[in-house]
Amino acid sequence: MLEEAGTEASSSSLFDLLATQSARFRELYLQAERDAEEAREREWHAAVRIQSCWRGYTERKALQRLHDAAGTIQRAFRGLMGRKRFRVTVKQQLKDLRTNHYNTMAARIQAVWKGYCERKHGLDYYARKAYLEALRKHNADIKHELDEFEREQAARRQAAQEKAEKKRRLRELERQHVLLSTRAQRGVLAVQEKGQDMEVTVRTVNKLQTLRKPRPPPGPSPRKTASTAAPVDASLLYSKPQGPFKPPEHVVRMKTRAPRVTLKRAEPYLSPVDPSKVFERASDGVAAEEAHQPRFAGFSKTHKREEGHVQSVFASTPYIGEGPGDLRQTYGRQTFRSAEQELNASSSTSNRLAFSTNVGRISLFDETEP
Amino acid sequence: MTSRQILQVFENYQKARASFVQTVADLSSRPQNVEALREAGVMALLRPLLIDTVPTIQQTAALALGRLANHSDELAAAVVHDDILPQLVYSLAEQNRFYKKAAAFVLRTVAKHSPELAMAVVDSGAVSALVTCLDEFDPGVKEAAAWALGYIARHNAELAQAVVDAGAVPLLILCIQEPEMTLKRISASALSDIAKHTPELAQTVVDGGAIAYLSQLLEVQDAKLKRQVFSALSQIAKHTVDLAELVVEAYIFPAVLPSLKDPDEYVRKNVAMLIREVAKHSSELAQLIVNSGGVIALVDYVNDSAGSGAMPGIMALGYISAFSERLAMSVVVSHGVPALAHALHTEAESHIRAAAAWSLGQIGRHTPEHARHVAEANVLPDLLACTMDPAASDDLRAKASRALKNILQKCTHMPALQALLADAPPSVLENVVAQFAKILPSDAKARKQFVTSGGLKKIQEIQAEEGSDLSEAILTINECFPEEIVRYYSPGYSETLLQRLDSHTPGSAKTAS
Repeated sequence: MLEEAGTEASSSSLFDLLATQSARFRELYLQAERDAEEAREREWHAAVRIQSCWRGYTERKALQRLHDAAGTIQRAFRGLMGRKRFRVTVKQQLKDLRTNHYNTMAARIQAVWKGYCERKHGLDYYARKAYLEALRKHNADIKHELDEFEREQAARRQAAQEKAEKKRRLRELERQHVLLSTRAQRGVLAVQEKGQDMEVTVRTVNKLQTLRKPRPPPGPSPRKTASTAAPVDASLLYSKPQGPFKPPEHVVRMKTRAPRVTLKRAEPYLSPVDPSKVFERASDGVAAEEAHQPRFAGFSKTHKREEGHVQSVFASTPYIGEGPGDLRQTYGRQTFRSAEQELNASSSTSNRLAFSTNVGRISLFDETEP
Repeated sequence: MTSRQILQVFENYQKARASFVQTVADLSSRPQNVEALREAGVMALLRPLLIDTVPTIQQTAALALGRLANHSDELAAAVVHDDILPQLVYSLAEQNRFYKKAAAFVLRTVAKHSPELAMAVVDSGAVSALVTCLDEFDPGVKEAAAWALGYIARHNAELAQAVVDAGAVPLLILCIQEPEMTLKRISASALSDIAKHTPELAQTVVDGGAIAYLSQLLEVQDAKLKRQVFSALSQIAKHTVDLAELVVEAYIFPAVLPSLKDPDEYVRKNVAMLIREVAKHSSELAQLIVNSGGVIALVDYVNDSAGSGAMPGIMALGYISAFSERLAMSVVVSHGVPALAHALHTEAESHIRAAAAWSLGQIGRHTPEHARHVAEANVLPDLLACTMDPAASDDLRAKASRALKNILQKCTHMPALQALLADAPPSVLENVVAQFAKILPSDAKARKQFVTSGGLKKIQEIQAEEGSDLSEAILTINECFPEEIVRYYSPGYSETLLQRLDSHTPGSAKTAS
């Protein structure tokens, strides 16, 4: 504005101008000054505004760039990690899948094997049935034997009682004999006991005869059958001498009996026992014992050397099954354990079983093999 | 002349003493005279006579003393308090055999009453004196000494140990080998009394070789000896498996089985006890007994005997069947269940019924098959009656209810279960309903039968708490049947039907209105 004024002044006369126009110039100048003074504030603010806008813009721009850069880095890193994790998960899933599959298959195999094993060695229906059947039979045998034994015992007691009774009665009769005793008794013609011909008995009874051997009264006496009579009548061989000697039957028995010298009862326990021979009978006692026992078993040393020591019942025999009628093989049983050293020792020489019992089979009462 | 008169005085005195002591001995043999004799001061008078110069008077005095002590424990205590024991012990070592016998008799009668008196006898040093008497030649003296030692040892382990420490066992075992039956009997009894307390004492008896000699006596004819022999063997076997195996290894099976048929009741009982004591240890021993035919013999025994005699047989069957299902099945096959059921049904004493209930529970708890056999013998109602009987003992009730639960948990026998459904208490009912809940879902025939026999109706009538096992089991059962059937059998269904009838109006009436 000042320059414009200047150029205007030069075009007209300078002095005029200076003279006339000085005041106007001053006025103009001052006006300009005032305007400038007035606008200064506004212009300053505008400048500040412009500057702040620019600076803010650039700052934001820079920050945005930084954010973008961080996002890029994070994106890349997270992507990497995510891919890694996914890989692990997939691997794990695959492994699980496989394990499950294998487990299912293993269970199937195990089920088949266990079933087979159990049927073969464990609860075998047929073996169990055989066992129970054998037990039933064995029970019947034992029961029969026990009943027989009881009956025999009862019969023996009865016989002893009858014998005592008979002896008592003969003693009584003997005292009634007219020549031996004056004791008053019932008359001969009195009513008799059941079937006893008293008169005949009294007449035939003889003191000495009674002492030696009571003769049965004639009449309806039970006749002895051939089977019940002893093989040798002892009273024919030996007569009882006078004095404190043993009766002839006893002497015969002492002479013919087998010697019993061991403390242990020498029973043939290793072989299966015939139940009928378990309980010794009176009738065949002596003969059966003689036939079964080795003579002089207690004294013989050769016998000892062959047999070794007497083993326990629990370890004496090979354990085939769990009882009578159980004839299954031994492998895989609870009561069996492997004997490694035996396997090593014997594998080169012979093919013996690598498994042995720890509890022996008790074959005492098994069925007898034909 | 004068000396004769003097001697006459002494002779009179001696005669008077002899007659006095003889009369007292005669009088004291009757228990009712003892009180009067005691009040007359017989102890004070007998004591000096024990050290009399005449042996006959000494012996008779000892005999009288023994009879008095035999009848009353007060007089036995008086013998201890009056310091007569040391005198007797002294004379045991010194005097002749008749006196020894009498002195051992006194010691026996004093020791028999109580552990305290027996302890006093031991403290007086009598045991070693009695043991020396066992070495005597005379069997009567041995017998008296063995008897006294047995009476001392029977009270408790400490006294038995004292007898063992004095070295009595080997001599008693020698006495068993003597020919006299009474001596054998009494020594076997003494060994039994020693062995019964602890495993160690039994082991001492076994170490002396007692089993071999005892097992030789299994087939003797004498019933009283047999009693003692079986008792001794069972007292030895009862402690441990090892001892039981040692007893079994003397080949007592099946040699003991005929004795279960012995005419003597106590022989039979002791044999059953022996079998029980052997069977209770391990399944191998139980199997051995089964294999030797012991079970059928035991069942016969239980069938034949009544009262407390049957007890060991019943318990033996229970022990055998407790081990495994196989052994339990062996008992079933040997007709053990009906025998036990009969015992449970007919026995009067509650401890025997408790044992029978326990044994039946042991048989029935293995598999459904076992439970079926037990249920078919009609045992469950009896067991239920035992649990609900207010007069029964606590033990019987507890054993019966446990057996019932054991059997019910395996039982699938429908008729037996349905019979229980009617009158069982809630605790048993729970098991019964649980069994139905197991059977019905998988068995169509059983479902039909369950409905027709009225079981479902009873199930609906049960008042069960929400959320209990019982209500869950009922829910499972109801799910097996169609809804209508369940509703039909529910109590109060007829009322709901009638209500529906009231609210229902027929179609023709509707259109008319």
